Formats: sequence, structure tokens, C-alpha cells
Amino acid sequence: MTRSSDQPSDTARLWAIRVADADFGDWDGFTDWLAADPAHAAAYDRAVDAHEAADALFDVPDAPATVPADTPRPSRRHFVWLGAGGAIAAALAVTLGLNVMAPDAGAPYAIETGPGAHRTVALADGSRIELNGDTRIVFDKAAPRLASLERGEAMFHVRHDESDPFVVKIGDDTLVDAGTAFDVVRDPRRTRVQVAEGKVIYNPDVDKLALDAGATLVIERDGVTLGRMTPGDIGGWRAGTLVYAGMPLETVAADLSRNLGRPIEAAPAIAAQRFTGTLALGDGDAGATLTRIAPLLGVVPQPKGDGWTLTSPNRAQP
Amino acid sequence: MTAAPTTGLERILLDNRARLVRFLAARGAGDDAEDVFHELWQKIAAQPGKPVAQPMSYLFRAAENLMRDRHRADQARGRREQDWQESDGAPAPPPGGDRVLLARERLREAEAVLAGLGERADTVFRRYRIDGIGQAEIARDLGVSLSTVEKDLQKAYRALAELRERFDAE
Repeated sequence: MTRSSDQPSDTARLWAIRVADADFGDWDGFTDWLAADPAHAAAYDRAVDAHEAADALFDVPDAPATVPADTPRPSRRHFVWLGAGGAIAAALAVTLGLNVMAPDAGAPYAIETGPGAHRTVALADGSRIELNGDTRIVFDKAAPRLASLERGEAMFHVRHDESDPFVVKIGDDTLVDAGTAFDVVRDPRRTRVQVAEGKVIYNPDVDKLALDAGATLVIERDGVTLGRMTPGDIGGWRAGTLVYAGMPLETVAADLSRNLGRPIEAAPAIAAQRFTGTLALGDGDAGATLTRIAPLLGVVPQPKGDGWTLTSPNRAQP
Repeated sequence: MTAAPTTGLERILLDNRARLVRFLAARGAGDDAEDVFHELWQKIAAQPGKPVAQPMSYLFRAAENLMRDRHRADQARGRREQDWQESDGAPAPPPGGDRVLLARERLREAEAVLAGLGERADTVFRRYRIDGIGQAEIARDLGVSLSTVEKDLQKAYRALAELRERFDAE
């Protein structure tokens, strides 16, 4: 049971409502109120938390429409875990009736990047795909609006066409463009999707989650987690900026590998430790960059083979 | 220390450093306000130069988002540390499919709560949260003042927070 002194005041709630509006402009007024009493900032955060929790009540996919008998269902079931504070407009009811071709139909060809190398692919339809290092995407001349991300990370800028939507396959999962720019990272145990502009539909025949600008999805073996992120931070790898909020170090290490072009792993003892912050990788060589950002991550890089293992600075732990 | 500002937005950021640091300090960063400002600067500097209609609003919004990210991470860290102490350290398995059924049931209750607030408050909340329309536009469409829209949203969020508390206690 919460005591009344723990409840945010009505004023804090009002500020939470006003600031949440995209057109809010009275930042100086907001600052004045915050500065008037040190308790105001905490009350405001509690009010926003309460509003996000209320918003989350509406993040529920509708019951899926009956799937026609001849549509193959993916073999995995997807359990949707609504991440705390996730507030996105999900719940699309319309099945798009797609006929998604298998990636090896027709004339497939792969484009691959080496470690640490970037490449941009321009497709005939005007779509543009930016590939990060150590990334492999398969296209098919017979299916020009289909791409399959086999490994790595790509930022998609897709030309929107409602009659022929662009489809990205990531293993058993499907993303369908509804007018977008979005980033996808495929690691062995985790796929991440982050939508910068427009809308992407995840698994239109099963989960039917509509992801709008700022929405994020983490897809793991046992389920998916919805989240939120500032759209401007998405695809930051193209400028050497990686932004995280509570990301396990093992995933940060995988991203560093991809971006720096050298194998980097987190030691098992700290692999699940979470990191929040921004890493500015710069143009320097991998070793110098890692040395510079290691204190931010709270790790000590130990050389291993061609790369490094990120270890705990605590001598008691390996 | 850092290269000269390359975008107009970065220059505006630096010109308004004091104002933004004051915001960050009051917003909860306290003594870390300068560090948080530096983090904001790095992000803005890394973005490709793109025209921004209202640069100060954009920068304040970016600063606010950064503070929310820090708050969320603090909350999550606190929860996880507690979980860590209480468990063997392995991450909890995600819940099963009945979590979705429960969520749907709760959605129905939330919609009933909104309907109970009266047609205008219900409409205002739906337009804002589900349709994603701005508060000023909602006010114009319904022919009421912005303050009325804000009050309706307060009513709705208060009622939903009570509902949410009831769910959390179950």
C-alpha cells in the first residue's frame, strides 16, 4: 500500500501530461518548477512512471484473426512480454495476406561485409540498405522487395508501396514495411529491431505487432520484449555512436565487435551486467577506442587472440 | 578537446549550455549535470546535419529523453539487484502465453474505466494515447480549451493509475 506522501502531486501529474505532448514548448517554465523544490523532479519522474504504466495497459495485441488453412505458421510460438514502461501503439487487426517467398527461390545473391566495414546497397526500387561490419544479407532478383538478414546489422530505408510492401526476413521472423526507416541487428541469441521513422509490422500473420517511430523490439528464443527509444538515436552506429539503456554487456560486446572489426566478448561473470549510456567510437584504431571507452563500461579489456575479453575490474572476479 | 561544431544544432546547443545545464541539474542530474550535458553534446554532434524546425525544443526534448533513460536504468538496476540477491543470478524466464490473455482482460477493464469517466474524457484520452494526436489539436477539434484537455487527461490517468494499483496488488 502506498502512503499519500509517496503519490506524485497533482501538479507533478499535470507537468507529466504537458511535457509528454510532442508540441510542448514551455521548457523554461518546467525548469523553474523543477528548481523550486528538490522534491519536484522525483515527483515528476514518479508521475511519468505512473502514466507509462497506465499507457502500457493499452499495449496489447488483439486476438489474431483466424489464419487461413494454407498459410504456413512459424514453428516457434512467440510469447509477448510487455517491457516495463513500453508504450507503443500495437494491435493491428488486419492480416496483410502476404505470400512471403522462401529466400532461396529464383535467383538469390548475397552481399556481405568484412569485419568493421560498412557498405550501402541501393536497390532498383529506390530503397537503400546500410550494412554494418560482419553482416550478410541475401536478396533475390526474382523477389525485388524481399531481403533476408542472415547475420549482423543493417539500417533499412525502404521506399513505401502499400500494394507491394518491402519484407525483411530474420530467420523465422518477418518484418513488413509500412513506410519506414528501421535498424535490425541479428545476433545468435537475440534479434533487435528499432524503428526510426514510419511503421514496421512484426510477424503479420502471428503476432501482428505494429512498431512505430521510437519503438524497439528484442526477440529472443522464448519471447519478445517491447521498448522505447529516442528515434534520433537509432542507427547511430553509422556515425560511430552506440546508445544503450540497460543492455547486457554480452550484447554491447557483440556490437563493439561488429563496429570495431575485432572479436570482443564479455567475460561470463559480467556478461549479464547491464549498461546504460552512449559510446562514441570515433575513428581511431580498435585498441585505442576500447581503452578509451572501457572505464565508461566499467570493464578491463584483456587481449585474447585477435581481440579482447571484457573483464571485471574487481580482482576477486575473473 | 572536441572538433569544432559542424552543425547548426550543435552550435545552438553550445550557445545555450547554461540554460540546458540548469534544466538537467533541476531535472535530477544534480552535480552530474555537466556530465549529462556532455553526453547530450556527443549525441547531437554525432547526428547528421538535418534541418530542425525548433532547435531549442528539440534539444530540451533530447535532454528530457536522456534523463528518462537514466531514470529507467536506475529503476531497472534497483529491481535487478533485488532479484539477483533473491535468486541464483540467472535471468528470470519470460512469462508464458497466459500473460497475453491477462493483458487483454485488463485492457477491457481499462476501457470500462475510461467509458465511466464520461464521453469527452474518454474521447480525449483515446485521441491522445491511441490515435497519437497532439493535445492542442484535440482541443481545436473538440472546440474546448487546452486546459480542458489537460484536465481530462489528468482525470483519465488518475483513474487508470488506481486501476493499475489494483492490478499490481493482485
